[in-house]
Amino acid sequence: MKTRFLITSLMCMMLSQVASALDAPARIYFKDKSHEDVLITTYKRGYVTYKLNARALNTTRKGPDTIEAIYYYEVPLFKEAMALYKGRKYAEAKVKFLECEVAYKQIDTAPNNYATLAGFFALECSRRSFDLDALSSGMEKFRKDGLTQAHHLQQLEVNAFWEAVRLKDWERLNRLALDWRTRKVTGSQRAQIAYCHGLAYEELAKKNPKLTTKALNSYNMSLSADFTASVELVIEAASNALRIYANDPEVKLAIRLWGTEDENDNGTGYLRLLEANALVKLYNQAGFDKLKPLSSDAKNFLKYEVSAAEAP
Amino acid sequence: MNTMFKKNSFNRFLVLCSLVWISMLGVTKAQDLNTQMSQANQAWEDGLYPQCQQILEKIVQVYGGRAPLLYGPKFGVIHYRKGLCELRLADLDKRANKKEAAEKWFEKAAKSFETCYKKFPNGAKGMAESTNGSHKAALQRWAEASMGLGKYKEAIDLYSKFLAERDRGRDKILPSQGGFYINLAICHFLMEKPKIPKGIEHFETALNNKERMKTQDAGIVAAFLALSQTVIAQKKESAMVDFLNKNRAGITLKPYQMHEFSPVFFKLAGNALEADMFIAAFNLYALIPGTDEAIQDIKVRIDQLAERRGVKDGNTVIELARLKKGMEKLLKQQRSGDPDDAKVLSAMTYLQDQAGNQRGVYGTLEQLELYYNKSKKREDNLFNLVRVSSLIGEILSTEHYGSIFLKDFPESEKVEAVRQLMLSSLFFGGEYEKSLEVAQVLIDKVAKGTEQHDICVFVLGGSHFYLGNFEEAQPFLEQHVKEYPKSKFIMHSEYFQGSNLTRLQYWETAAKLLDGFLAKYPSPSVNIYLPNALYDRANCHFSESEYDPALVLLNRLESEFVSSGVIEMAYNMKGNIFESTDKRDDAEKYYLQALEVAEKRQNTIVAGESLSYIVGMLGAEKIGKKPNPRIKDAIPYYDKFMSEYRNSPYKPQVVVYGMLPMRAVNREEEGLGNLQAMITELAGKKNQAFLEECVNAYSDAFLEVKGNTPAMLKEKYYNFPGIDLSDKRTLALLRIALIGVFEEQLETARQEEEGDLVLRYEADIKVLFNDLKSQFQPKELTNFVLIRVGDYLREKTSAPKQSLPYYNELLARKDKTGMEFKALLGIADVLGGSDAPSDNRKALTSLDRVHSAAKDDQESQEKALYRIIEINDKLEDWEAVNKRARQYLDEKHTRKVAEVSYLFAKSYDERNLTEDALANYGSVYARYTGYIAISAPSVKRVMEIMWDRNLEAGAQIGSGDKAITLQKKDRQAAYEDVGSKYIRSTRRIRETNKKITDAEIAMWDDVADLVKEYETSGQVKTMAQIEEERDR
Repeated sequence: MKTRFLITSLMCMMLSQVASALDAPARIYFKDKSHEDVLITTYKRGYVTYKLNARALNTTRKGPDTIEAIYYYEVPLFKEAMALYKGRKYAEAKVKFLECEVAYKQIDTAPNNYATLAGFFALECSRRSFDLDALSSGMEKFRKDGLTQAHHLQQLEVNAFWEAVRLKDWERLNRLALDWRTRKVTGSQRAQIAYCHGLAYEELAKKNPKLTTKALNSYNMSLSADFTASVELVIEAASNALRIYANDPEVKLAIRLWGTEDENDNGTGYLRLLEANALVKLYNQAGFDKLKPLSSDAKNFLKYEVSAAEAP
Repeated sequence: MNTMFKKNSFNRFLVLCSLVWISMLGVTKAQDLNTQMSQANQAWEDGLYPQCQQILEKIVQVYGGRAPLLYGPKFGVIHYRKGLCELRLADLDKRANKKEAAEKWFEKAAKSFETCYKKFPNGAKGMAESTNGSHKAALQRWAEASMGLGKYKEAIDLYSKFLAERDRGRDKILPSQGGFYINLAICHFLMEKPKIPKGIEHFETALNNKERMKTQDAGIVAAFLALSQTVIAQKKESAMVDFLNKNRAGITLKPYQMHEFSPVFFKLAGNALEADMFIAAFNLYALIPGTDEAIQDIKVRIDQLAERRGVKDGNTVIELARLKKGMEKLLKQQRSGDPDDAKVLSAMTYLQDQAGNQRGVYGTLEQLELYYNKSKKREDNLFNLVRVSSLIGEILSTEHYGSIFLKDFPESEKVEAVRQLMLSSLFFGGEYEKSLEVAQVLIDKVAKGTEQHDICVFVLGGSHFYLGNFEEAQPFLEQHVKEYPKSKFIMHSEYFQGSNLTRLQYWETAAKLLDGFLAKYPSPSVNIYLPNALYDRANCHFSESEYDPALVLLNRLESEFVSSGVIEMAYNMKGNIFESTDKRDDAEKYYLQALEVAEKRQNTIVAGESLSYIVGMLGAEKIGKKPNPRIKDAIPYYDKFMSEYRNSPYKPQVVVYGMLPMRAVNREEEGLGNLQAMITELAGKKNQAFLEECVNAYSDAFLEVKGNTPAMLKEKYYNFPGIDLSDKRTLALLRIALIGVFEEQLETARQEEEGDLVLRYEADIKVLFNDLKSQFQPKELTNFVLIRVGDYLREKTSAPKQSLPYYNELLARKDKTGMEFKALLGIADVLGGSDAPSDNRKALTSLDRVHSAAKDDQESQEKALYRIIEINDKLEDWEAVNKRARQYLDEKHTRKVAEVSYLFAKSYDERNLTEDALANYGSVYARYTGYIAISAPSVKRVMEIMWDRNLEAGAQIGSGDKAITLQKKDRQAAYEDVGSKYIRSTRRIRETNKKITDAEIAMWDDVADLVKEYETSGQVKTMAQIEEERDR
């Protein structure tokens, strides 16, 4: 019974894949300087099988000896998914990307193919929505053969940081981040690394409180690394930094002593309280409060402001 | 403005036109026009737009006047095509930022389209019959040209006119439906009185129907830029933010496209910043793509195009030339060191700074240094990084980046500022070793008298102070206070100077400085060191046993600065004072208070210290002369210490002080075990403070155990568990402890007159010292052991000079741990004992040093002074003897007061100041009659002087108030009242005291002989005669 059920399921899956498989529109540039707009049905190790239009029954197979380059036209499914992705609707985008990945699977080893790109951006959707379990399982299945842009390939390496976050392996995360400190990466990746490093420092600071300022520095770096384009990270980084301030016993003491005779304007707590105040101001000035309102604890920091003349 | 049109359609159109002309004109004319149209066609095809425009211009000039008549409305198409060509030229010039040229072309284009529309309407009277297929289209293109000229209202009117007049089936919307709405949006945004909502409505129409309406990406961005420009000018930030939040996907293009708009985004973001529209600024900066991403995005497309001209993908035309140009521009930017990324990070720095988020500023500046350190602005960026890192307390970064700055910009005018930031940041951040390292290098590079030198000297002194290098700190602190009295660090260095002296135990000087400091900076709001200075000053009082003034300061600390960082230490000091003044309950209360505060603050050092005091006080064997009834009360604190603070540096004290209480509660073995472990632990440490006390306590406790003997202890100490044979220092210390035990046993044996035991212990001690001398090099011994061995060799052997290597070894050491004066004394003693006067004088110099320097070691001071008197006596320098003896007596030393008093008298005697000699000898023998060694020679000299003076009864001695009249004649008084009386009163000592030495007996006998001599001289009435007269 069980075996029969399994076979049925597999067949259904295969059928659904076959049913959703689409030919990839592309322009093939031939070595004789001619070109042809085609629908590619398969790609394998430099050899493409294509037909000239959707209704054509005949297919042609050409290889590297005749093909100079292939330009893949952006397919509607990918375009749709990308519009959702740019609009920060990551859950919906991911569904579309996965659909696209499956639909063009037959060409997923071709350079710059939209199946691989869709798979890549599906991973990005998981990452940007902090679904680290999905990112981890996605990474296990993902085939990167079709990726050609260095920063896409590098993002796959950066995903190791997120895996360490998922596993709460803070020591490893710290080591990784230090290894990558001077490595050239994109702003988005720098923001991710800084954010993850902030998480690691925050956890490690529980044993070694000296690392608290390093956590704050890392979160602050992620605020600007890609000019706030990775807004979901920026918001989390700011919230985490504000959480550190709010939980800091010295900050709590400075709040208690604020405006009293015992106020110590040279104390670490006092100075951090002012930092928290500035961070909340920045958060509001950048308009992040409209995207994610701050907690009441964090908003309270706005009370603790010194005039320019008193500022340390 | 969206002016995209297709090259292929234009070509097809030109070909079509040519055919029409041929059919309409005479053969010659037609051939001529045909040729010109073909040339225009070719020029367009080749992208030679100026040539194309020139040909078309020529056509309309040549044929234009007669065109309506000859060709009818159809000729309007030539004007239309000419307009398109001019529009293209305007577009190219506009992209090249040639504003005037662009405007010229826009004007021409507008004119061409106007001509097409107005002069060649379809079906007009008086014209040849033909059709102007571009008549309505011209309205749209005219609108585009008007947009180029900034006439947005006019453009809107033209578009409206087009919509009103168009034939929906024939007149297409240009350049596409999307482009049409984009243009309308732009016009509404940029018109003189902008209509933002209407513009957004058109914009969203184009965006929401992007695919269907074939809206071009470039048009979308252009419209967004127009929107941004308007909302900034109109200060309607929320309109842009709302639009963005709704349509972010639509306006975010791929990096290969987006980078082209970066300059405009920069400009708009800059405008937003000027208008304090930070949200707008953040959003605009966020749209600028990373340079690397853009380069890679372009490269992948170039690779896919395989050197073909381009491809049209959906609505997007991808042109190879444009890609390559963009790529070249971005690579050039990268090579320049200032790509867009660096510029945006600089902007982020500004935005973070605007909010006052200095840690964010630090983050951006650090990225600029780490990833864009070829920037032309690097010097400023790096300097600011150093400055901001110092501001937020990232001191190690200040040092790190400061060093990089100094290396890479050695000629910068900011060099001095960087050095200052590095030093002060490191110092005030508590990185004293690092700041010391930096200051030591800098001090030689900066000129004296400068602010940099000021800070260097201050940091050197302050760092040494905090690192506990008190001797090294002192000269720098003194220099800073002296040379930079107006320094901004003067209060700090003045406090360090005073406090440092307390660490060096120069209590008197420290007290003076601290008093000055407290008077100069009395306000706690200014003087952050006030509680510390009060504590240090109290410590000075305490060390001089001035308990009352110490308590005044400690009470002030308690009442005014109860939250200060030194309060628990102050409580401990109060406890010490109360304990010293036998107020044990108060002492206990304060020790417990100190413990409570220290535990609350997790100050384990002071908590351990408090417990050590409590254990020491409660665990004392006796209170006064009575047994301590509370000895067992020490145990809970002992146990608390051993379980919670066993890593405290006060553990040796606790295990030593706790030994007696442990025995009292029958935990002797455990206590002894702890002591043994402590000895082993200390043996392995560099700092072995309190090891001697531990060893001594162990020795005592070991021998207290029933059945244990000194021999067993010897066995134990020769094979002490856990101490390696190579650990010579500890092994030597154990031998010394053993010697101490044997010395005690020897003393007991002597008292009990156990001759055999005395001999045995003396032999044991001798063997142990010989062992120490032969088995251990001076370098291997602790200071304490060096002194013990040195003193033994000096005092107990016939070759005292053997002691000199031990004393010299100690004096050569950096850490002399209070043994310096003992060594100096030892050396002086050896030299003083020499027969060579030059050695004696060296000894005097050395002793003088000890006497003047050892202010906190009264015993050494006294010994030194006494030895000075002795050596001067030996050198027969009677003036010096007199002076030093008077000093000794004035300083109220007591140990050798009898001997000194005698030498004082002798100093007068030797200088023939007989009256003074007589008076002083008289007071010496009267005060120390029983001390034969002193009294006997004094009596003898008094007798001799009086005998020689030989005054008669009634003679007057002295003058003024002090004049006295002699009742007896001198010789009679010398015999009767001095000599005979002395012999009579001390004969019992001479005859019965077992401790009297042979020398003393001889001295006493000398006096007795003199008495006899005078008695038999016949010049005095003898005692027998006197008694006989009395009996009569």
